[in-house]
Amino acid sequence: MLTIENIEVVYDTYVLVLKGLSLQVKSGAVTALLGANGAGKSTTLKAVSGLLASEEGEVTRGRITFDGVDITHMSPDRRVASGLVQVMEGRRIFQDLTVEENIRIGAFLEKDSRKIASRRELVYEYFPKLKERHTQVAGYLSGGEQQMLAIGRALMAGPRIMMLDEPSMGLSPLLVQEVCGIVRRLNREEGLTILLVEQNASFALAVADQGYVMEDGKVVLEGSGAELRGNQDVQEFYLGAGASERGRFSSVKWYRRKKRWV
Amino acid sequence: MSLDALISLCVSGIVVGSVYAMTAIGFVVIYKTTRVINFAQGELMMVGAYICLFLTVDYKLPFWAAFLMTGIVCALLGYVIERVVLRRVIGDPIVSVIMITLGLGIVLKAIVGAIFGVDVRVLPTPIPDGAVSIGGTPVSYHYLFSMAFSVLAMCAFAAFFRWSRLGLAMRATSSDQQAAMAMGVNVGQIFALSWAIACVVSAVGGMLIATINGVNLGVSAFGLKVFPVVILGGLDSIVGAAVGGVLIGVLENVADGVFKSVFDLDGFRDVAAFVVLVLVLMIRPYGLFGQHDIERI
Repeated sequence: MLTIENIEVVYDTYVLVLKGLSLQVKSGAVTALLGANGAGKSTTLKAVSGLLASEEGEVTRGRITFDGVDITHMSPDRRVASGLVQVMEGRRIFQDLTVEENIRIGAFLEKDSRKIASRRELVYEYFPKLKERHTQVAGYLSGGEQQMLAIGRALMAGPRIMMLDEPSMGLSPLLVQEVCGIVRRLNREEGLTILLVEQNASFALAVADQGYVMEDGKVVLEGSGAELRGNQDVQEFYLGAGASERGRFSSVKWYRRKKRWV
Repeated sequence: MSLDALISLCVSGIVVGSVYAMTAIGFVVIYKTTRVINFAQGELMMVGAYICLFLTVDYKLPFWAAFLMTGIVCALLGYVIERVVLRRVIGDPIVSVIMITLGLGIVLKAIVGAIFGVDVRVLPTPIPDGAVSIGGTPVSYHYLFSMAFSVLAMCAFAAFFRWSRLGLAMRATSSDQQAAMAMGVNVGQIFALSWAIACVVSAVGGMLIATINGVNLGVSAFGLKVFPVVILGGLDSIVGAAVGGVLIGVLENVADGVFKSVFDLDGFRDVAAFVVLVLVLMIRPYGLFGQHDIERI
């Protein structure tokens, strides 16, 4: 459905961030993109959503296609119109607007008022707390509610692929579980295709059908969710398992593997 | 000083103040969405007044048609200014952007002066000359018209920003540009739209002032008053611009009158506004209605 082929992204004309990255998002699946800080996960999402341009970034090589259409250099609003919607890192809700206004702006490109109404209903069904607080100024919501609002706002755009950038950031484990459940529900019940960028690997791999691990601007490992969960490297460096066995591996080998990840 | 004199000072203050408010709204719209401090606001007023004059006197259009046409022409002008001039300096240091708006003001003034000359000209209006008595104070129809029209225009803007899709998009853009972009808002278009709106409201302010004082290049001097108004109201608040405009209008008129009759000092009008500006900056730098950033604790 969404294919990224060998893209290179350059910031400010000389900082090379993505170095030939390729990945595929299959229709109806949850695809997770994992990696350490600075691996280029957020940049990948911004290349897909077109927000790179607002940060002096540019795709200099390769191409991104969505349903066979080349969108590499399409304007961000046209990408949203075609169904590619990004929930940005750090929630980024409109703080001084009310919850209801935040929801309304999500459907900015939708002209059919019936569709808007039914989407709003769906959002409020998923997030009843937002309905309770719909007249409140969004900046005063709690962190978890703000994340829900950010997801709800994106749902209003009628996405075909929703790209979530670190939805677990700054949330308590309980809330992370809630977000996890919501992502799963959106995928199963609404048939929404999801591209999930996460540092919290256990959360991401718990919901992912397909996963990619990124390092230094490239994909270094890919596989189904189950494969990645079972992968020894992933277990050690992301899920924190096997730490007690450290001594038994040759430490050089372990160090080398560790360096590849972090 | 008699009470009657004070009341009439207040009334004319409100009228001038409502024109300030219109211009200040234009300024705030530009500032809120694009973070550009527009020093050419007064010149935009002047351009509006001259276009209206040109259409009524030289083209013999009826006043209302000219009024409407001026609005349309100025919207286009604002759109073009943003696209051609300001779009190129997005993200540049604030000083260079200010310089560009200053230059823009000078260019507009020169063009208008070259085409229309520098004499004061009367803008013919269908508003009758008489006055009505409000609470014993005579208020001319021209004043009433200006006041009513600016109140109407301000309500229209309030409604636009609150309920319309584009108004909401403009507020979202001013709140978080990138997030607005992620929701499919074309930020470039919003920038151009805010300039178009600012040009229209300034032009309306210019025309209203022209129906009272006539038209000359001096109309642009009103632009300077925008600063005490928006500082008092809060740089990023439309309501603040409206309230601040009226407050400053009344204040400077009353201060002027009081200083003239009590201390026999002339020309305090312009000083008063800037005294307020300094005081506000000292006590409440975000103004009466300005946005404090929301911080959750």
